[in-house]
This record gives sequence, structure tokens and C-alpha cells, in this order.
Amino acid sequence: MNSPNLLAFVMRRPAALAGIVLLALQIAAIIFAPLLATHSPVEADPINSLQPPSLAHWFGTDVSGMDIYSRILFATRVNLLISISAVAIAFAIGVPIGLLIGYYRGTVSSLVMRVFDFIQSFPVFVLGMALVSVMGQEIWNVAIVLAVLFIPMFARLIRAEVLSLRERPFISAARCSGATDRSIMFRHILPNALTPAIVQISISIGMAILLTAGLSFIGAGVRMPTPEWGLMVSIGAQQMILGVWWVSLFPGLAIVISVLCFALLGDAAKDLSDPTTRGRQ
Amino acid sequence: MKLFSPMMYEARSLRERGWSASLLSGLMLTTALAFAPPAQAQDAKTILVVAGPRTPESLDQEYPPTEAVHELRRNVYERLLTYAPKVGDDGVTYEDFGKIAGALAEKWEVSPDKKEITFFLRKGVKSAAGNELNADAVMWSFERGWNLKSNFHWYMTQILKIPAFEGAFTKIDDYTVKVSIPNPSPLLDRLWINSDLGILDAVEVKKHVTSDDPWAQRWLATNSASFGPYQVAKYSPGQEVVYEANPSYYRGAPKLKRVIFREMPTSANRVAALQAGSVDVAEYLLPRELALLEKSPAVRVHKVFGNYIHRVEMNNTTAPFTDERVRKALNHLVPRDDILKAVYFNTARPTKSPISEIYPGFTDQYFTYNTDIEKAKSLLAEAGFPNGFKTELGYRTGDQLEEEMAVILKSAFAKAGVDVTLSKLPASTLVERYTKGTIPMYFFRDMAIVPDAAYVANLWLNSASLINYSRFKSEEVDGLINGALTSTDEPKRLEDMKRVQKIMVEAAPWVFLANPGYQLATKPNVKGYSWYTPNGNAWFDFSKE
Amino acid sequence: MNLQSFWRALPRPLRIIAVRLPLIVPQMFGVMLVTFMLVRLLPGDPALLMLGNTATPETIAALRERLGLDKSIWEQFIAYVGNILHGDLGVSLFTSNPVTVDLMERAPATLELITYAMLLTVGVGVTLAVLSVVWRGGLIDAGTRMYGLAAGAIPDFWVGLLLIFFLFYIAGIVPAPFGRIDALVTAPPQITGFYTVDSLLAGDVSAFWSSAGRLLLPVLTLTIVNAGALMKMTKTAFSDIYRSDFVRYQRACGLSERTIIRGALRNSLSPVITLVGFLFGFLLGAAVLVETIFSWGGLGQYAVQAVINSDYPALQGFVLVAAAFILIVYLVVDILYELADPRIKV
Repeated sequence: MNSPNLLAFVMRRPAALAGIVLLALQIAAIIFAPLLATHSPVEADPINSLQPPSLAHWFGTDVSGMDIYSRILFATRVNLLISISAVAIAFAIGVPIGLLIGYYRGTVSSLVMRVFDFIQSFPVFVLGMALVSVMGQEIWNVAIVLAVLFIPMFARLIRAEVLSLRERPFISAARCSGATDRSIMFRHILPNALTPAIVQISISIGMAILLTAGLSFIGAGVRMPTPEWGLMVSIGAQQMILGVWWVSLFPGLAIVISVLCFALLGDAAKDLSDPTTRGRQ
Repeated sequence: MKLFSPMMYEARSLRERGWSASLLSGLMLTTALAFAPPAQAQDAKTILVVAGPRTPESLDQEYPPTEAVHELRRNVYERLLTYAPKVGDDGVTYEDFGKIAGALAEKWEVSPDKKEITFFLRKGVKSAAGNELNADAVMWSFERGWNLKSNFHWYMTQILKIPAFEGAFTKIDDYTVKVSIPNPSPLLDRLWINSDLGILDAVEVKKHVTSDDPWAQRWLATNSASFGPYQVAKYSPGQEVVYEANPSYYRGAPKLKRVIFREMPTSANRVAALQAGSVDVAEYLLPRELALLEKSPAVRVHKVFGNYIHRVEMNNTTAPFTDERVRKALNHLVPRDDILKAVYFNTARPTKSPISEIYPGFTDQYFTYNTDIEKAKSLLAEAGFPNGFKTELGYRTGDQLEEEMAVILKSAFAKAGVDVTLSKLPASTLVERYTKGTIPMYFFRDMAIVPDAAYVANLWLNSASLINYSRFKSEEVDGLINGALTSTDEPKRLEDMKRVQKIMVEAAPWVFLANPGYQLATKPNVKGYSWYTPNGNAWFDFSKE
Repeated sequence: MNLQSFWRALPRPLRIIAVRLPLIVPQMFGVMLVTFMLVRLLPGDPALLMLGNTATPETIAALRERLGLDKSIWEQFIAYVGNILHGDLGVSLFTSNPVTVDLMERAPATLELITYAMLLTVGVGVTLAVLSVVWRGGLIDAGTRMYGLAAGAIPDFWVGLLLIFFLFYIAGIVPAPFGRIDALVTAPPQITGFYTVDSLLAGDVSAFWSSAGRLLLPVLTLTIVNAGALMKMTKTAFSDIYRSDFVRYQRACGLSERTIIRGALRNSLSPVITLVGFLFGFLLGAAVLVETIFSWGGLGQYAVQAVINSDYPALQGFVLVAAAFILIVYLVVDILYELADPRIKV
């Protein structure tokens, strides 16, 4: 699709436009955090703990006296890094698996599908807590735990596409002209099967951000005092009932804005990929 | 298939009804509470509702002593001896560590060579089940404790150094029992005051003995049978414990007939419950919450300075903490004033000695660590770390105070280049790591129940002690402690313990932080607050007016 | 009669169940094995933690023996499987209760919460979906589209905290947000385990209002977040049918709008059933966060405490029961799906 059409596509959709703007904001937060922040994100200042929003601290301070606004900015790096890596790993592993089990049906494929059922039936947060306590609270461990959860989803998406594609006439034609299994899979099926998975990437990043925040909230995410939105909400959780609202409100808003951004982009990508909706208003 | 269609309409009307119902429920609840039936008002004076962080893990005295079981044991079990009570200037009833009084034992005699103690049991003492106290109950309690190789056994073998049951514990007659130990011990009498050494109602317990459970461990884990002021009427671990008064308690029937202990793990919820009036007492609140509650006329906060010591221990056998200068440097970096004000809200005092302040033998004269970044930097440079070093600090999951302090210490230590990675670990992982010595720094909050400097020093500072996790070793300290444990020369013991404190403070095996004290928030009509060394509240002393 | 004709002679529902049910057995075995291995991998020695100050090599060895921690991994696993087959999930290290008793005590709390949340979610989701399709382009349509988008982005723990702040702290219209019932009110005698149902059965009005009041915030929290997804799904399925030719034909024949909507709903059933089943399983996991915030005393809180305390038996018991529950839910959903769609061959 050439650029003028893409621009026209976006301009016709305020939702997609909003998504792009929010993405730009996040990228700006990632790159320019040290310039935009007013304080260090990890320096504790106990005397100034739990200050409400003011000119000195735009979003107030948390229990340790750390500035919430600065921490939210720096947390963009952490949250997005974890989520994007998790989805990237899951995509890189899930797509080939989906391709293989979709193409070669049989007992191995059914077994793999059962394993996926199995992974998806475990209680997410409790298992996440247990795994992270085994592996340690490092950023890449959290990403790995999330990736394991997302692999079945990508694999199933690709498998569903492959199952319907392999019966198509153009595949039989390729086979008749002597193409090997490998070349059929990678040159003919894969490019056509990828679309739904690619569209799903954006939504998955949003889901990963929510899951990371949830894991950190329950104490199975990154370690203190790393700035991370879910961890910040958990620091303020105890204080909500006592009327201290700013510690949990602002990081929560950041989560909503970030996930919304990826959901909007995901919707736009879905519209883009489907020829029936591409031209629509 | 009609699965969905009726549901859609029902669901819609249910939803509409649901909204108005919920608005109504709020109103009705307040109305219901306002018009509480009169019977509740009468009971209210004799029922106490307590909110605490944890229900006891087991009702058995031989279960390892955790914070939650200390309170249970104080109320349900009765011991042979006790300290005489004394009322402090603040109106709080304390234990007078200088004066031992009889409890289940009316009289006791210590032999001149301090190797034998004879207990003369009080007559007519009845348990909640109606059985009378006699020497058989005492002997069976001793036997059970010895055979289960847990708390009782630990005290007898580690403190009194008793080698075998035979010969050590003798029944003289129906109301007299004698304990004989191999070497004289200064703790021979006061040890029996200890919370974990209560006497069981053997007649009642023996009814539940089976061939594969000769000590009724299964039954005692969830039931109580002793001569204390309360018995456990209902035990739902993780939810609540209901204590009911023993009307035949030998000191008189308790004023509070029923105590309902509810587990509410989050302290903010305990605060809200107290403010809403649903509970009478809220235990173990955070200093921040206590500061908030003090301002409210509907709440009364009781504070004592207690015996807890909260510190960061360092593994003295791991570099760079093998160097005394590094340990002293860290002590100079701690912003103690900030911590006492912003984390503890002035409910704590700075730790100036490894011995608790209120115990005889305590001295703070050797503590010289002021907050001085330059001094810390020069000490570190001397030790070969002019640019600091990297290390790890572990703290318990769920401990808010430790997390707050960990973040503060991280920033404070960073000022001298010491880069600390904070590790939040589940309790048993942390315990395993510091037991094995695989974590360089970790928080440790503990108190010793026996108010004796040598006992405390032996627990934490003797290199032979299994809970000296910092692995501090000094031959001189070991010698002084071991001597004090067997010597009965009181003045010399105190002198020696002073010397131990001097060595310890100067060697700084720990980063000294604060003594948190003990606080209790109650409704203003709850009277009779008392404090005992295990930090469990004795409901017998309390009343409501 | 040979096997094939015997098979074809069986009623279809029976055939569906006969194929799907046996699969549960190897899956459950796999769950048991993985749960056991994973929990054993957890660092931390519960014996050391429990003993604290009284730890000596002797007491440690005695306690580990009492807890069964001194045998080899395979011996422990075999003992574990044997016990499970007898219905014994072990004894919790921290409550001293058999794990089955602990789980049974707390399961009704979680189930009550999830059931009401499901009911409200389905009610709100389906209603909004139908309304927005029937009145396309209206305010409801635009509103629900925004809600559908936003709901997927909101973390449920954040919503719970905000509800506590606004409805309890500021407005004061809901009872204190912790526990299932007020501390001064006694719980109704247990029949179903649902406080709301049991109190009605016992005629205890104050218990009913108290427990219903406390259900409000956690149920609202779960609904606000999950109704959006259900609504979007139902909207797609319903609108496809509603705009199809045969519905246009029905309208031309003069059928009332109500009848048409009812018929269209029935036909858009299948994907919604799947989503409801998935949601039920998902809520069990998501309830962990909500239970923690509201001190609900259910399975989720139990599991979190088990991880924090390294309470192996409790954690194993919870994961096993949760995984089994979800597998059964998936099984039921699969069966219902095949029952509902006569085009699927068995």
C-alpha cells in the first residue's frame, strides 16, 4: 500500500489517529525521560513522603518520597521493554510452532495443542508469582513468564490460518509443480497466514502491559524501586482506603493510556488488513 | 435452545433491581446498626473483638514460637512462675523483672547450689474442663515436651543443659515437682516464666491420645486444654479464633467473657475496622497509621518501647563485610533521624546496643555512629573501596516497613557509592538464604523473651549459636557469654555483658537501625492495657467500661 | 452389531461426551506432575522458617521428617499422587488444616464472587450489545463502542482501588471494603456456602444486607472490566445475524421485533458460550487480585499467602484444584458448543 493511501486511511479514522498520537507520546517519554523528569526516579526522600500534587511534585510523592511524575515517565521504558520483548519472543517461537502443527496434522500436533490447553489452564498470577520467585525478580524473567503465556495464542492463530490455507487450490498447484514441504510452508503458506498474527501483536502488547502491571501489583514483577506502573499502583494501594489517592491514580491512568494506545493501533491494523473494511469510514 | 433468551430479559430487570438494591443496602446497613437489638448492648461490655494480622498457626505449645502463637499462649496456657506486676508512669502494667512471683506454683525453692528447683503447686486450681492441677499434669507436660523435641526440649537442653529426662524431672508428691540440672544456671528460676513452658491439662488431653499419636499432637493442634484464663472455643485458622473465659480460673473469672480474634492481614483494613467501630482493638498497625489514629477522639493508642530490635545484619564472613571499616562506614551512612521521623513517626528509638533497652544490663554508652557521609567515605577508602561496591539487601514480602526502609537505605548508601540491589523475598526463601549465608545483607527483626542480657547475647552474638546468622565471631565475646550463662555472680555478669556490648557496638556486625516498640490501638473504653515480653496481649488484664 | 453401527446408534450428546471425557485423565495427570515439580523448585525451606529461634540441627531434622520433606523427590511424588487418589491433598504448613478443608472453606467465597460477577457481566454485556445493534448509530452505540475500547485497557486492581476511594472514602455509601460480612454480624449457617443465599434461606435479613453490601464493590470491579469484552464479542455475533437476509425476511413476514431479537440471539449463541466459559476460568485467576484488595478470604488470597509462606501443600492444592476447575469448564464449553451446533460431526 503506498503512502498517500495510508495517510488517507489514518485521517479518516480519528481512533487510529489517537492511537498514533499516544504512541508518539510514549516514544517521547522513553527517549526524553531524563530531560522531561523533574526529579530522580529512584531517590528516596522520606521527609517528603505522601505529599499531594503540588508545584514541586506535579503528581505528588509516594510512600518513600519519590516523585510520581518522574517515575511514571521512566516507567514507560520498563513497561514497554518488558511487554514488547515478551510479545516478540512469543511471536518468534509461536509462529513456527503454529505453522508446523497446522501443516503436519497428527498425534504430535494434538499433543502440542493439549500442552497449550494445559499452559492456559493454570492460574496466571499464582503461577507467575511462583515462577518469578524461583527465577528472581529480573526484567527479563518477567518477560519470559509472559512470553510463555502468549506462545499458545500466536501458535493457535497461525494454526487456524494454516489449516484453512492448506486446502486451497494454489497450494495443490504448488505441490503439483513439485515444491517441497518446506518451500510450501515458508514461501506460500506463511506470508498469507501471518496477517492475523501481525494484527494481534498490538493487542498482545496491550495485554502484556496489563499482565506485567498485575504481576508487579501482586509482588511478582520487577524489584523495588524500579519505576513500573503496576508496582507504583501497589505502593499506593494501602493508602487508598485512607484517602491518599494520587499514588495509585496516576500510574493507573498511565496504564490505561498505554494499553488504549495499543488497542487503537490494533483495531486500525485489523481494519487495514481486511480489504472489506479498508476503504470504509 | 432457550438458554439465552429468557436470561436477557431477566438479566436486564435484575440489573435494574440490583442498582436500587445496592443503594438501599447502604442505607439499610446504617439503619440496622443504629437500631441494634438491646441484647447486643449488654454483651458488648464482656465481648472484645480484636483485629490482628494472623491467626495462630497451631494451638500446640510445641509448635515453633511465632508472633501469632505468643498471644495465644499468653491467654490459654498458664505457667509455673511469673514476674510480679508493676504499673509504670504511663499507667501500663509491666512485668517487674526483679521480682518473681508464683503462678501455678504457689511456692518454689531453689537449692543453694542453684542446681535444683522444687515447685509446690497451688491447690484447687481448675482447668476450663474442670480438672484439677496436680503433679501428674506437670510431669506429663514435661514428658510430652521432652519427647516432642521442640520448644520445651530446646529450653531444657540449650539453656539448662539437661542431658536426659530421667533424673532431671521428679515427682515428689501429688503437689510437688522437682527439676534438677547438672550445672548451676542463673536462669534456673526465671526460665519457667517463659510463655512456651505452660502446663497442660493432662487428664483432658490424654482422652485424645491414640496408638499412632501418643502425645495427642493432632488434637492439640486445633484444641486447647490448660489452666489459663481462656480456652479456645472456635479455631478457624486464617480467619478467626474465639476465646472463652475459664470461669474457674484461679486468679478469678476474667472480666471479658469472650474474645473474638479476627485475622485481617492488611493493616489499613484493621485501621478502617477500628474507625468504623467493628472491632475494639487493632494490633500491629503501621507507625503512619498510628500517627493518623492518635488524632482521632474515637481511638486510643497505647505505646510502649518494648524489646524488639530491627536491624540490617551483614554476613560478616562475606567480602566486603569481613572488614570492620566497611561495616562501620555503612553505620555512618544511615539517616537515623529521617528514618525515626518519616518511617517510625517517633514510635521507635534508635538502636544503640544489641541488647534490648529495657533489659537489665543494657548500656548505650559505646554508641558513636552519627550520620556522617564524609567519614563513611574515608572509612571505605581506607578499606579499599573509594568508589563504593555493589551488594544485595534482602527483605520480606509483605513487610511494608522493611520495604520503605530498604528504599531509603538504598538511596543513603548510594551517596558513598555503595550500590544496593533490593531483593523482595518470600519469608522462607529469605530465611533459607541467610541461614546458608548466601545473602550479604538482610533485615532482621527479633526480640528475646527472657529479660536477661546474657540470654539475648547468647542467642544472637555467640558464635556457636545457630541463629547468629551474621556469623560474627569473637573469642572474647564467646567466653564472656558462656561464662555469664553458668555464673551466678550477678554483678560480674552485668560487668561482662557491658564489655560484650562495647565489643559488639565497635565491631558493628549489624547496621543498627531502630527499636520499634509495641503499640496497640483500641477504642477509648478498653482499659487495663498491659505489656509482656513476648508481645502478646493478655486479655485477662483488659476490661471494657 | 459391529462397533461402527453401535457408535452411530448412540444419541449424539452421549457420543460427544464419550469422546471428550477420557481426555481429562492424562491432562489431570500432567497438571499434577507439573504442579508438584514446579512447587518443589520453589526456593525456601519451610522448616527453617517455622523454627526461627529454636532451630538446631536436631529440631530441623525432626520437623522436616514430620513434614515429609526428607524423602527423595520421586518418593514424595508417588506418595502425593497416592494421597490425591484418596482425596487427601496434604496438610497446610501454616494453618495446620488439611488442605482440602482449607480449600472447601474458602471456595464458596470465591465462587460467590465469581458467580455474581459472571451474572452481572453477562447481563450488562449482552444487554448493551443488543441495544447498540438494534439502535445503531444512536448514543448507546457510540457509548458502548467507547466503553468496549476503554474496558479492555483498564486494570481491574486499579478500578477496585478507585471504587474504594470514591464510594467508600469520599461518598461513604458502601460498607467497609474488606471481608464478606460485617465483623459484628454472624455468618448464616452454611448450606450452599453463598452468604447471600444462606442468609435468605435462614431468614437472617441483617446478614443478607451485610453480605450483599460487601459483594457490591468486588463484583462491580470485575464486571466493569470484563463486560466490555463480552459486549464486543456479542455485538459482532449478534449484528452479523441481525443484519442478515433471513432476519430481513422475518421482518417482511410481519414478525414482531421482539421475536426477531430473541431468535437472532439464540443463533448467535455459540461464540458467546465459548467466551463465557473462558471468562469463568479467567475470572478464577483474575479474582486473585480482587480478593487481595478486598481481603475476601477466598481461594485467591489463600494462594497468594501460600506462595509468600512457601506453604507447599497449600500451593499445590490450590493450583491443582484451579487447573482442574478450568479444564472442566473448558470441557463443558466444548461439549455445549458441539451440542449447540448440529453441523459439527462426531
